[in-house]
Amino acid sequence: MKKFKYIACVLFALMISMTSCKDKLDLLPTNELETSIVLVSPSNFELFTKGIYGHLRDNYTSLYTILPDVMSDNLIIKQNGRKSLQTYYLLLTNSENTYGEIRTFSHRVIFSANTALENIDVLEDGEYKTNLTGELLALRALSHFDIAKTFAKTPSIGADSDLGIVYRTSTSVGDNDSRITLGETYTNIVADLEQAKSFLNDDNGLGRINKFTVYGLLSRVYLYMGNAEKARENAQYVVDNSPYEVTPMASVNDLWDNVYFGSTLLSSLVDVQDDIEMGVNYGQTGPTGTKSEYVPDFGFYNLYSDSDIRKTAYFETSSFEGNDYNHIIKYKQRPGAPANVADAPILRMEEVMLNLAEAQAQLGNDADALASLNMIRTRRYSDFNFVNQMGQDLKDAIQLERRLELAFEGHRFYDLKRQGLGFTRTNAGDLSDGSGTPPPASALSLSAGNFRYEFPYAQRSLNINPNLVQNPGY
Amino acid sequence: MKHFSLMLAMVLLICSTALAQRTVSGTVMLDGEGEAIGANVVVDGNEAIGTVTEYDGTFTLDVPADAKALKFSYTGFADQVVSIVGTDKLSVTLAPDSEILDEVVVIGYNAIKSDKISTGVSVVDAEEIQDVPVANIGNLLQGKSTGVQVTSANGKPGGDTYIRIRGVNSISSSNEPLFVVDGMQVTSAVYNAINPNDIESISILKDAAAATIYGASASNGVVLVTTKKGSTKKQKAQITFKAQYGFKEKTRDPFDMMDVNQKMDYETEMFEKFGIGNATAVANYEDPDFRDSLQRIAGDWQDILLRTGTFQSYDLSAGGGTDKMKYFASAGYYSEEGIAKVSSFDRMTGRINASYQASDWLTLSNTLFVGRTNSNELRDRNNVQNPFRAMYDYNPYESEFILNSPDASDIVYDPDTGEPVYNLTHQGFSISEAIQNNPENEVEHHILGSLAADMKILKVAGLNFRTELNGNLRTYERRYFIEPGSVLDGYVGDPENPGIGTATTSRRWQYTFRNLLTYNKTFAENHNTNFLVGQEFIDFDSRLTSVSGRGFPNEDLYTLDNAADIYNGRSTVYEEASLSAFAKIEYDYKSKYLASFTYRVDGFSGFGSANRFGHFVSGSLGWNIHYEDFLGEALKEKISQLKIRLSVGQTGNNSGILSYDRLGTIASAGFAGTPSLEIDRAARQDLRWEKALSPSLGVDFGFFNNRVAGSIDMYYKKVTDLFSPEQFDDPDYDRSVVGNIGEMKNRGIELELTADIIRNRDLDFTWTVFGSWNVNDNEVLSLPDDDGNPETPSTIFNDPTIDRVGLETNTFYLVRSAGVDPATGDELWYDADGNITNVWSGDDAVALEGKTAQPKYQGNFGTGIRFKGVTLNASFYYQLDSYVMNYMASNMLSDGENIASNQRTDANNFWRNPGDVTDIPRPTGVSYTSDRFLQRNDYLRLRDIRIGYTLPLKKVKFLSSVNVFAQATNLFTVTTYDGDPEVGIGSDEAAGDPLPGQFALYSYPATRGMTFGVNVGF
Repeated sequence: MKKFKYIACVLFALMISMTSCKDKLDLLPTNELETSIVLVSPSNFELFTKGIYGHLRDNYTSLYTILPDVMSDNLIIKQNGRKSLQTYYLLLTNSENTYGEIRTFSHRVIFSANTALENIDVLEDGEYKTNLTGELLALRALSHFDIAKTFAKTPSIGADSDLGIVYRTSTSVGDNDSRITLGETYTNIVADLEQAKSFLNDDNGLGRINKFTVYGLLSRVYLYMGNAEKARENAQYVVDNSPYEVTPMASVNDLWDNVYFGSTLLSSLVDVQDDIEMGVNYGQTGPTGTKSEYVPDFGFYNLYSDSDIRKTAYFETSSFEGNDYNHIIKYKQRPGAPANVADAPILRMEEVMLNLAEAQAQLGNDADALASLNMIRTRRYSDFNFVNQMGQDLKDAIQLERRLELAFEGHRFYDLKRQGLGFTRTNAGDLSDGSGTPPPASALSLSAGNFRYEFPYAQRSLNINPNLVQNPGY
Repeated sequence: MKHFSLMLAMVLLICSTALAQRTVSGTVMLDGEGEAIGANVVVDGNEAIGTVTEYDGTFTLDVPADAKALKFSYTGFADQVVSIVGTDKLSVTLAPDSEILDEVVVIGYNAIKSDKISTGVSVVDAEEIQDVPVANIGNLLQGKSTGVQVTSANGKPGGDTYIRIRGVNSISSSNEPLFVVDGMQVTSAVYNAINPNDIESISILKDAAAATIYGASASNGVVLVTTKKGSTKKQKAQITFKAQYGFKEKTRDPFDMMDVNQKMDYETEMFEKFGIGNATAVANYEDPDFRDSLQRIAGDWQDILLRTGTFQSYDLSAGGGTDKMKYFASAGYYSEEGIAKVSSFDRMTGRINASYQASDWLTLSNTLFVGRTNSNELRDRNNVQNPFRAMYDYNPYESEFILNSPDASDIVYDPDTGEPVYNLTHQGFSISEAIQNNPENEVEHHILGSLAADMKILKVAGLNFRTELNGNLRTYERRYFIEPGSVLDGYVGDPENPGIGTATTSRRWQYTFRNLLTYNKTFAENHNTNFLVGQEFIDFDSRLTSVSGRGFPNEDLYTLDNAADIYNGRSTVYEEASLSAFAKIEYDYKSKYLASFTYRVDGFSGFGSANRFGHFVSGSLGWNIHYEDFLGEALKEKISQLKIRLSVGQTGNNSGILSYDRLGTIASAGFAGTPSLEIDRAARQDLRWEKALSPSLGVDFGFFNNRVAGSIDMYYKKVTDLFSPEQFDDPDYDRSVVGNIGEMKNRGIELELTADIIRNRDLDFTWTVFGSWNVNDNEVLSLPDDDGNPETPSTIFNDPTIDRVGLETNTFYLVRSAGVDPATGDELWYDADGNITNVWSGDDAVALEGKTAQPKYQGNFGTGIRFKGVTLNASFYYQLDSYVMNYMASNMLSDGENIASNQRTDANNFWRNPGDVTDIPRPTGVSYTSDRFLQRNDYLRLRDIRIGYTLPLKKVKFLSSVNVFAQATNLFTVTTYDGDPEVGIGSDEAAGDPLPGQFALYSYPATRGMTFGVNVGF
């Protein structure tokens, strides 16, 4: 009988051991922290803010940078490429083939910034807290602006009562999930930026937003709003007060090699460890040459004169599969890094200068506008000769220079849109001499004010959020 | 010889009369196989007294005077008890096991006699899966059980399989059944590492009531694999040696690729008529010398990249036992050189299973499997690194190596290395260079074992306690080396630091701790009950480290200690745990009326505290009509089996849910090379199991001594709380979060029939035919934001399919093709409203009702003939009404879009003149996605045909059996599909996890093969 008592003890012990296993179901990850425990520690705020810049980087190293050129007259698809982003190129966006990606990272920035702002009082009052609040507000505003310029009209051509976007100032889901008006949207963007302006330091280090970044962004936002006076005021402040300069001709190549930063008000820094190769969007280079995805529209390419430093800084003409192509090399490689690794520009002094020129010209101040424009031209053309331009000529010259300078940096589509312009692609092929396959007739042009200037919300988003209203035309 | 033994027996008989015992002798025959060598002969009721038969089947045994009967047993044959009252000489013939009904079937934590099962369970015997020339168990189940769809992922050696039991039950979670090997829940990587020759039997728990005992992991059905354990009946060791050698080749495509001249002519016409293509090339084609030089190159890239695959397998095993001990041990080796050059798979395995009765109340047992697999992999993704795409894409005028122009005959050699210089083709890449210079190797080690103690406790008959510890250790090592100076290195590498090496190692450890209490009791003679209560704890822990290095001095120095710069290092840890308790009661009255009840509660670390535990219940009833006396003797004689089964059960699915999904988290990340924290996801504390509820009704029948036997099953299965990774997204915060969002149903019918058309014992001749058929119908019942209005059904878009309420899951969603306008040659489509248009628009995509990758009907049929020692078996598999998106055809009939790559010959049938009626439009240089290449995939395939011969070996003392065979797989196929119809994965590394067979996108090609083998028993 002893034996059976012994067995009974063993069984009992086994049962107990099983019950204690219940606690083992409470497993915690080793590479994530529960949200609720992160933003209670001041030291985590710095790490978390850097994480928000990481989301911003994910945004600018992908669609926001290439799409505005793909969907306009700057780029045409190379027939023997991988046909990435073809739907956009063919101007066939619809609610089912344009997924939510273009908004995804912006929303991560917004959600994260709101999370941090909601917990900001964990920090002691002082300069650090004030400056960080400014960064968070600016990040939130910039991401809302990116969504607004894509999914809504710009106030410069739309009415205040037109559809805006969902503007989130808190993390609670469902509170504010309807699109507000266009007027309200931009009021919110400007309010966040104006507030940030007053909070920020002059310098937060490379890759971080500072006071001048916000002034520069405001000059852009005000142009989108059609407010030339405010655009001029903010751009002028940067020109007058900031240490940033228009990249001198001698440094243009260094700028794209990511070794010169004198003009960079904000860029997304890409580290080798990030495994982000934004150059792949444009093409990949191997032993037989560069296999491009997109090449410049032939007419556009011809706008670069041989004396323009950008012609060689942005393009390389070489053979692939027995044909010559004009390849885009802006993001091809940072020296010492793997192929196609490069920083993504968000705001540089050249744009601020061009914003200033555009605003000055709009305000009728041609002399100042011409001077601002020449700040760029003297630093780009080896044979620059002063020409006195005025009126519409000057305005056209500013837009031309803007298109040439800011090509492949996410501007063209929006610049056309905010001016109420359409575009016509050059009826030429993808080869360096303009031969090859031209864009199909259906994708040769987009008329001014076409509904496709406002992107469609993904069907998925509409399904989930019944309050979300689709843009007209889709 | 017989006379001699007879005389011997008589002598012995005379000698033994003096003692209080006597001698019985005789001959044991195996039905259809001749004399039984090594059959067990014991005294019925006193198994300590026994012997085994000699090589001629004879035996002689001294038995106590009071012995009434002898018991005969032999593996694969039914035990037989023969009376020795009044006789000393016996002639016994044992019948094969398959012909008897009381075989014991493993049904999850216990085993019961098959006639007492009242739920839906299929059994695959070792015999049915032996000698099939594939590496993994999943593949062996193909066509073995109705309602079980098995699709090879692709033709890769050692490749995976998709198994679907009774349809698709989940939108975004796994649809793979739960695999349990000797009590251990394992993943496909583990069961595919096991040596199929070690398997004793496989039980497939198809209906929910049978699977409920596995609760939360069981909604896709359960596959229970039991390995050989040896037998106390076989005192003499059963030693078996098996050897196989065979060949494989790619199955033939039902289309041709263009040859040199066809391609040049095609390019010329395309350029001249439509301006599509390369002007320089076309101009060159007009030069007869140039044309001539290309013709001399004329190569077939399939010949360059493929070969005849070979495989070999050897297996040595020994099993047996004594009255206190059983054992089975085996060693196996399988090696396959794939049909694509460089690819290979080999596996070494060893096993020892043993049990020992340590005392009258304690039995100790173990299983232990160790294995190692080693494979050389090829990139299988839809880009230039994929040899399976290159073999179609590369042009016939592109040579493998650079040739001396203009003669185009001599290969150019690199003056430095002496190696031939690869031609980088029109894609700027050489795949034959890449497979040599970018080697990828994977090695896995597996240990799978268990220790168990069975205790008869408290001296209560039938009361048993079993405690069991199972462990599974799996290591995985991947080595990928982009050699310095290789073409790929030129694209992705750093010229300053040539070469990229990546080494990944992962280690997974899972243990299961289980306690089972069972009680078998018969009340009042006729009420038989089995009680089972148990607890189970499963703990899984996985660790991974991976690191890359660049800057290698030489291609031979591949380990990362040679790299100048180490980067991309990471290590991860993942843990998962579940805790379960379960109970089962099985009852029968005189084996006539059956009932069972099962309950399981599962707790899983992936769910928040609110829904951490799930409860699952099932019940079943059965009626063995053939045991009923009211049938009368005449009918009972004819009806060998007639059973009705009715069951209902609940099961769950938690696969795809990770341990930490319940938590809202912030993850570590990097910003500009410094650490940062990023929002990762929102909390889902209310996440809960996908639940399935399924009633099912079945009839098993057998007539005329089971000459005609079969079964009919009907089922309905409703799955609720479907997971979806996206539907709970905050639309303005698009990080994917898993939530429970919808419902779907499956319903179907399964039929199975086997008939012995000829069963002639005298001639030793049997001819059997068998077949199965099943139909499955799926429908999505609800999704989020369904307003109930059939005009606006709720939909989830997956591209190129959708899930929509009222339709099958993963219904294709495409623009409909309307052919080619004979007047203009324009490609035509239907717009969303059904009007014909020549302008393609993605907005015109519609749900193609009834068109999914999941076949509606499938089954198998075949025949088996046995005459004396010769066997001939053939089995066919068929499936009907499934659809595949054939992206391969779309690329090879691309209307000029892929003119730079080779095209199918029928691409040339494009529209040329008004009035031409063709399905290939006037080339525009753009290929549009539509259902033009959505192809119906009905097919019938001769899965395998096998001829075997058992040598007559009466005179050879040391051999007990020798069987030689030849087997052919996938010898013959008819299909409506434009390619090999067994489409599994589109492409191995393709994004997403679509249904198997949803699209074809250049994966490792399917194979057909021939194998020769010999099985020897000692």
